[in-house]
Order: sequence, then C-alpha cells, then structure tokens
Amino acid sequence: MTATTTVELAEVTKSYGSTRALDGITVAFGRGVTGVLGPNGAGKTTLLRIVATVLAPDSGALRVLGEDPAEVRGRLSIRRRLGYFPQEPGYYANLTTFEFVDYIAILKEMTVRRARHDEVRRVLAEVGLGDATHKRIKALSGGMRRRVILAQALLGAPELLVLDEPAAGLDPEQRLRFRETVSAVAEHHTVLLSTHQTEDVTALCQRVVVIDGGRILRDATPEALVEAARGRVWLADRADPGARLSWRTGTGQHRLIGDPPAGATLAEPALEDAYLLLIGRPVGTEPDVAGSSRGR
Amino acid sequence: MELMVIAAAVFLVFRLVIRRAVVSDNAGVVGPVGWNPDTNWRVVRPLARAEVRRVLRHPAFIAGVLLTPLILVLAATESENTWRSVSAGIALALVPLGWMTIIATNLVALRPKRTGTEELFAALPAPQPTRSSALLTTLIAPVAVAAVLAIGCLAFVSTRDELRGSFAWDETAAGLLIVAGSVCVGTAVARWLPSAGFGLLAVVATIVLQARFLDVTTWPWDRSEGDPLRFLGFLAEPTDVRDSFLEVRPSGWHLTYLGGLVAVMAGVTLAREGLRRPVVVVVLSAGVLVAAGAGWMQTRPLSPGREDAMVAYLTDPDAHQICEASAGVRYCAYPDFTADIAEWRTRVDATLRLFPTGAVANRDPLQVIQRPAIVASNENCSAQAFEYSLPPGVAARLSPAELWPADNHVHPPFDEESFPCSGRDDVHGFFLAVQTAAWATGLPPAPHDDNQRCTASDQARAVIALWAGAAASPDGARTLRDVTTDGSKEDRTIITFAEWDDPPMWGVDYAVADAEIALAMLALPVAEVRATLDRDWARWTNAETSTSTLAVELGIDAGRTAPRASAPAGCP
Repeated sequence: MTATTTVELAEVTKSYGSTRALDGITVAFGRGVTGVLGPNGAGKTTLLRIVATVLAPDSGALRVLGEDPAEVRGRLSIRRRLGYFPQEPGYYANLTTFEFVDYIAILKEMTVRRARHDEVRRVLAEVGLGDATHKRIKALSGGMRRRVILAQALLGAPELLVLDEPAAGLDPEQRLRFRETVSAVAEHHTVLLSTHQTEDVTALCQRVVVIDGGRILRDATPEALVEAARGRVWLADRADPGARLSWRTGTGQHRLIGDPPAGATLAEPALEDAYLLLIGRPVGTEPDVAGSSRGR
Repeated sequence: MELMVIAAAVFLVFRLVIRRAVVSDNAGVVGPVGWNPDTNWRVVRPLARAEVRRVLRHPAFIAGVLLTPLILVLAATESENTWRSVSAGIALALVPLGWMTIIATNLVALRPKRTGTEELFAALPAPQPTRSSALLTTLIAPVAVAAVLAIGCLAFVSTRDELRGSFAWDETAAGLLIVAGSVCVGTAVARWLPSAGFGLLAVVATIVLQARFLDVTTWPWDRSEGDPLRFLGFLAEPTDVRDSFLEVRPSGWHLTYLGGLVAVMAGVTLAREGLRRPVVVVVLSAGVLVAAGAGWMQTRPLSPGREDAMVAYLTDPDAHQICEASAGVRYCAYPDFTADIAEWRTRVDATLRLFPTGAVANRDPLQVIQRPAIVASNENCSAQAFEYSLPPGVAARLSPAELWPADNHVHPPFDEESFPCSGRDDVHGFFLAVQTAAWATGLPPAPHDDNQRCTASDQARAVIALWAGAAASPDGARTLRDVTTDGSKEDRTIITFAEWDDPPMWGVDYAVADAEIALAMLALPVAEVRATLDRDWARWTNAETSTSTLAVELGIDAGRTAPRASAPAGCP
C-alpha cells in the first residue's frame, strides 16, 4: 500500500450461495474520485459494501485507510473515517432532516452538541437542504431524501467516501450540485462512486473501474477508455444488424458500435460507447450470468 | 399438558436464539462492532437523549400513557380504604404502561431493521454496546413519566379523606421499577430475537410468568395468599388481611429484588455482544446476586418473635386494641380502625334505643370488640378464610376457637360492611346493628370457632333482631329486603349467605319467613312495636316464643312461618 493508496483489495472473493459476486478482485484506490461502472449484478455493490465494512469477504486481503476491517479495532477505526451512502439507505420517515442527520452524527461519535449541530447544518446546506431542516423526511421527494443520505455521508469530512448510486433520482440541478460537492471532497480524500450515469463519471472521475461478473474488466482513466473506443463508433442513416449495438439518436441517425457498416461516418466516441464496447450490452441491462441479481 | 406446551415454547425460542446467534457470526462483519477497547462511551449520553425522544413519541408508549390515568383512577377508587392498598394499587396500575413500554422500546431498538437503515447504521462507528447502553439508559424517561402519573394519582387520591395509614412510597416504587425493567426487557428481546413479534410475545411471557409461576397462589404452587414466596413475583399485592400489623411487607427487599432483576435484564442485553466482558460480568453477576439475595431475604419465614406478636395480636385483642366506653358499652378496635368506633357507637346506640329501657340492665355489659371476619372477600370476589391471608407460620399456630371464641360479644370485622363484590356498599352499619340486636334478644351476636352459627327460625326474638337492625339503620328496610333475597339464594328458607364472598359476622342463620315478618313490622310505627316489646320483653326474647305469636300480637298476617330448627342447629 503506497502513501496515496486508501483502499487495497487483493484476490477478494465473495459468494452468495452458488453465485460468485466477486471473483478474486485485486485493486487499489487512492485520493480523488474513482468511478465503478458495471451492469446490474456485476458486483459493484458487493465491492462497495466490503470497502464500507458492512460485508466481510469470503477470502482475500483487504486494507482500508491502513486498517484491516477483519479486526474489530480496525473496523471501528475505518468507520470513524468513513462516509457511506448505501444503494438502498432507508430512512426514519417521521424524523425531520435535521433530527435524522443529527442522530447519525451521534452514531458517528460527535458528542459535543453545539459542534455537532453546526456540522449537521453545514452538511445539510452543502447538499442544498439548508431550508428543509425541519421538514419530516416522509414529506420530502425521492431526490431530496437521497440528498439527506448524502448529507450524512459528508458528516465529519470523511477520509473515504463510498457512494453507491447516489445520483439516482436527482434532477439536473441537483446533479450538478452533487458533482460540485463530491469533487470538493475528492480534492483531499478518496471517493468511490458506483453509478450508472456515465456523464457523472466523465465529469467527476479521474479513474474508472469497470466490473462485470465479479471481475475487473478495465481499470483506466476515462480518457483512456474513450480512446480505446476511437474508430469503433459510427453514425449511419439506417440500423445495421451486424453492429454490436445500435440505436437511433435524436437527429434521426443511427449510432453504431462495432465494425463500420457501409456508408457510415466515424463518430467521436463517448465514455458510454467505450463502456458498451467493453460490456457488450447497454448500461443497466443484466449480464448473461445465471443467478445474478440487482445490487449484487 | 400445559407444562409441555410451555417447555416446547421455551425450547423453540432457545433454538431460535442460538440459530440467530450462529447466523450472525457467520455473516461476518455486518452490523455495528462489538466490545472494543477504543469505544467512545461519551456517545451514550447524546444517543440516549435521542432515543428517549423516539421512545416517548412511540405510539405504543403514548397509548400506555393515555391508558394509565384511567387505570390509576380505577385503582385509586376501587382499592381498600388504606393508603397501603392504594399505594400498591398505583404500582399495579403502572403495569400496563410497562407492557406498552416493552413494545415501544422493542420497536425503537428494532427500527434500523424495520426501516431498512440497518446497512447505513452498520457502517457507523458507535459500537453496539454503546447503542444498547443508550437504549437501556432511556429507562429514565418512562420511569419519570410513570412517576408523574403516579404523583397525579396521589394528588387525586388525597381527596379521599377516609384513607387509613399513610402513603407507602415503597409500594408504589415497585411499579416504577417494573416500568424500568420493561425498557430492559424490550431492548434485550430486540437484541436477542430481532423481530417485532417477539416484543409482543415478551409481554405475553411476562404476564404468563407472573400469573402462572410467580403468583404462588396459583398452579403449580397453590400456596396460601400470605406465603412470603409471593414476593418472588414482580408485584406482590397486599393480602386481604387488611390490618397493617398483620400485613407482612418486606417492601425494601422487594424493591432491591426488582432492582436486581432490572440489572439482570440489562446484563442480558449487553451480553449479546459477548459474555466475557468485565462490564457484562459485573452487571449480570451483581444483578443475579442482588436479586437472589433480596429474593431470599424477602421470602424468609417470620422470626419467632414476630410470629408470637402476631398470634398474640389476634388471640389477645385486649392487649392490642384501643378501647373506650360509652353509655355502658365497651368499644375496642385495632389501632388502624379506631376511627370506626364513632360509627359503631352511632349504630349500637340507635339499636339499643329501640328496646325497653330495662331490657339489658341485668345483662353483662355489651362489648363491641373488633375481630377479623372468619370469611372475607378476596380481590377476586371469592370467599376466603381469614387464615389464608396470614403468614403460614402464624396461621399454623392459630385455632379457630382461639380466634373466634363464643364470647357473646359483638364483633365488627376489619372490612367495611358490603354486599358481595360489585354489590352495594351503602349498608350503613346494618350488619352491626343486627349483631347488637341479636345480643339484646339473647341470640349469639357473632359466629364462633370455624364459622359456627345457630338457626333461629320461628323464634320471635330473631324477628325482633332483624327488625331492630333494620329500624336502627338508614335505609334499613331496603337493606333487609336485599339481604333476604340475596342471602338465601340456595334454598329460599334460611339466610345462609352461602353465595356471599363477604358474609356478615352474624351468629345466627335467620329464616326468610322471619325476615318477611320483620319487614312487615317495619311498616308499623316504631313506637307501636316498641310498646308491644316493652309490655312483655321476657316473653318475646324467650326462645320458645314463636314468630306467629309476635305477628298476631302486632296484627301482622304472618303468612307462612319457618319450621323451627331443633338442636343442635337451633339457637338455644
């Protein structure tokens, strides 16, 4: 583990019954935002849960923030420096946003009341909920609820921020605000971001890890991924059954990925194109693995 | 069969606990960390404050708080007229709040699981022992709420001016400790059996435990009400003995015992994260030791000295009662009941005034000496022998002949005069008046030995006794009519009070037909009846004078007359 490495996994495996969610993953994460991309059931959530210490790997070595989460003491130390946004976080719907985040702040061992309340107000303002502190969570929209969860993850300026699909349900303005917040944290700390939004990855991540079937398919910068797709993305007037993937765009032309059909013109690749080339199917679809499930 | 069902239920729960424990271990690191030397215990205080808000706002707890005043008012108004029974009644009335507190704290402890926040909370640093400790600390709030409710009830009860004795805080404090224990039970169940249904089952289990196994008067123990083993129950209500000297209440030890049980449940909660931690060992051991020690202390048999004193208290009332004389009558009452003497005097004077002036002049002076009722009502409205309420060692040393000698005195009991449970209690001294009139007419005023009474059917003096009792009591005619109807349900000829849980201390079983003549006499002017009695008192009080003779003399249609009872049942 180098001085800048925050999370290090070596040959980590995790199975649910006969389904292998992580299949010997070896990877390290450091300061900045690392995007974790992959189809549903690829193992992203399992990977993030293991890093967030809420799940134990079946085998392999793991160090987070210099500690071994298998040890009780190490796990406690990690959790004191961790901010976690689970994929399905749950809420205490009858509490106000302030009460809920304050409750979590207490569980984050912020024991001095005045300082804790200041911190709660700070993170709520950070996510744009400064005016909704006294609203009950059950009265909030889905996007606002996710911002409440993001707020709690930011409590105490954690050294490691693990975010599992945090931007789902956010409107464009909220998403931009989210990018602003995460990028600010990532200046000094490590952010692991699992998302299906390739735009967010492009906008935020210095590095992308693409996972499928419990294995890492690619670990590179977004630019390198895009570069790998150069010369494989085309625009044509009609669909080509021979293309690996194709869809009709807003201009009426068809965007094709794979080998060039007749009459097609080369297009500037995007991260999504590179991802599709890598996975072989659109974002959000199931892999061809029997027994896979969402959020694995 | 019942035992098998309970054993099967215990086995299933035990298996579930073990299985869950094993599954949890296999799941690895999911969940908060357990005991850790780096634990920040300062979290407990703010976390407890936050959890208090959850508990106090919980619908189950709010329902309990809304329900409790109603039960408290019932307990305060339906209790015996002693402060001790009211104090214990308040504790009993707090039990439903305890049940609702179990449910509320159980659901609050399970909220992360129920709301899907379990994973989010699992990644937070506060270890589980601090979270459990915070939940246990919340007991302060429900106890404070229970205390406020109890104080409110006390203020309400204070308006009752007929209460004897003084407020027994140690009785009421047992209710507060039960509420405190409920928080621990709710949390412990949530930790060991983390499903919402088990909170409700815990409530049922505590009810079954108390009613079946900790109440020694029920199966499988079937001991007497006065057995000190009853203090092993969460709440040991006062017995039906109704005299503070005879009521043995090791309340201090019982509070200590309950405190020990609360500590045990707290220890059980914390033991979920591992048994071998010093704090768990200390809390559990201290709880077990305190509960066992106090449990033993409170269930010890009475000392020989105390037993002697209690036996003497009952068999030698002269030495323990406070007596006063008035108009040639001696009144004696136990210290708790001296205020009743004025009421007795009123009724006795009113009764004796109905008889010829010289009628009782040659008799030994009338003595009105308080005795316990041979049969009295218990809290379940069942007839119960007096000895059943005494400590077994005392009861074993008493004989009915010693307790209730055939002394020809009038004996008001400890209880207020009343009809059977749920019936009237506005008897206004009618029972005492009939005892007095029986004495005046030469009938035995009170039963003796093991409730020995004689039958005075077709004796004019029996009719006179009933008439005088009714005539000397407010609303006496109605009371006599009701007594005649309710007290003779068995065969409709003799008033035996067979179905009464709290029969009057009468030495005579009166005949229904005689009571009907007495009722007819009540329609006549008192002066007219008195003049008739005055003319030949010796004749009317002669056991051989029949009721029909008296009826004819007074111009009453006797109708049917009761067959005369002969010896040994007949009154001599």
